[in-house]
Amino acid sequence: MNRPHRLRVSVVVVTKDRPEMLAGLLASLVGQSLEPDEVLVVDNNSTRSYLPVFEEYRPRLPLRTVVERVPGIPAARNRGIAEATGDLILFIDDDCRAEPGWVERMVRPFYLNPHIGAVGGEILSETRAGGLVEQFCVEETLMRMGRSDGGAA
Amino acid sequence: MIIDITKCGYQRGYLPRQGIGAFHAFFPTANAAFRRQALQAVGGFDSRCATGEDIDLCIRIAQADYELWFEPTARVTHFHRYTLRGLARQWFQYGYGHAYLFRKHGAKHRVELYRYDRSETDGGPFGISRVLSIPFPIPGMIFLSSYHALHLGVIAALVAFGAGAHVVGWSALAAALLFAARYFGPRFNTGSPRRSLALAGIRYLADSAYVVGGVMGGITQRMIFLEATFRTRRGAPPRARAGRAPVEPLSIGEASDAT
Repeated sequence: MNRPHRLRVSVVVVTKDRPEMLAGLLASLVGQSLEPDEVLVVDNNSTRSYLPVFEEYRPRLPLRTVVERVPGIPAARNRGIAEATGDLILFIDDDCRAEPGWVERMVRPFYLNPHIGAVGGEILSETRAGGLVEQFCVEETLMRMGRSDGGAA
Repeated sequence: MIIDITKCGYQRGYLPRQGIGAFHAFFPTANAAFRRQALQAVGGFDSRCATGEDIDLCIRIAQADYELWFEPTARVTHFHRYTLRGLARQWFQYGYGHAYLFRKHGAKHRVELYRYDRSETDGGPFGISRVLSIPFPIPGMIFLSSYHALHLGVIAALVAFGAGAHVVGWSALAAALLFAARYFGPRFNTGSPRRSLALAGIRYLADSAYVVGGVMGGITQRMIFLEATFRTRRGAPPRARAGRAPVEPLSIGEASDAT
């Protein structure tokens, strides 16, 4: 296949007031089979401090952080797009955990066809359909149960 | 209901780029990737979206002639805990936000009636059909399901009894009961009646939150907006079929030397 250049990969995550959730996500981005060129955290005007989390992960990830003061997910994601340097922008939420091959598998299809503009992956819920409400969500396929350990690639 | 492709049985590969109104395949942004040129071509996310900014973005990217590729092997695990209050709030907000999406994508000065396909194999993608489209001064999207029919029956009965038309009132009430049976009946498991009742209650609450959210969102958008509800077929989740099969198989060896 003709490949003019390698595609730069930015992972963008929006977060607000839950540093411990973000820490779990960042942990899942360490040691990906394809390391992203940058992990951009957009703090949507949190009142809680993310500094300890950022300090912990800065040596382990190509981490960049920005603060977006305009509240709301679309504004924060647009800030992420504006700040990101990648040819590809991968969005993931702070309450998610990526499997170890996630970045690579999201990036691959873009090499396949230059007309692919968007790639979507599978979202599983942590295995624990405890209460009736969660059983309802499973029955209506609002959520699909998956592995709580993030699974093997 | 605007259907998230990760929940409706799509296969790995290209997704249909045609929607019906604002019913369209999309990727939730919890696990979605975009080519920068595609984002720039459409101008990024629409900050006027209360919810559904991911649906709106995928609609516009597809309209800009980019392909959407579903890659189910790229998995993330989500840690959200669902509570009854959280579920109701979430579906209210989905309904509220969808009104704007319908206003933005394909709303005309027409009232359009939609329903679920009667079988898995007829109709268009998403298992949804448009059954009627009539000219009207303001846009309208009305989804007909047994949920709506049952409430219409109750309202009609109340009006008829109030007006003293007892025969009409009883007929409307009978019709409402029939639709109530269609709404609650197919999911009822006689082996565990209490669990069935509880699940039916949760479904009724989620449907109601969605419909009320949609009506209120519709008022702000100056349109008639009656949301879809969960399908009532026994055990059948909302399903959609890929309108186009994956055409280019992708081997792991082929792609891994790309990086």
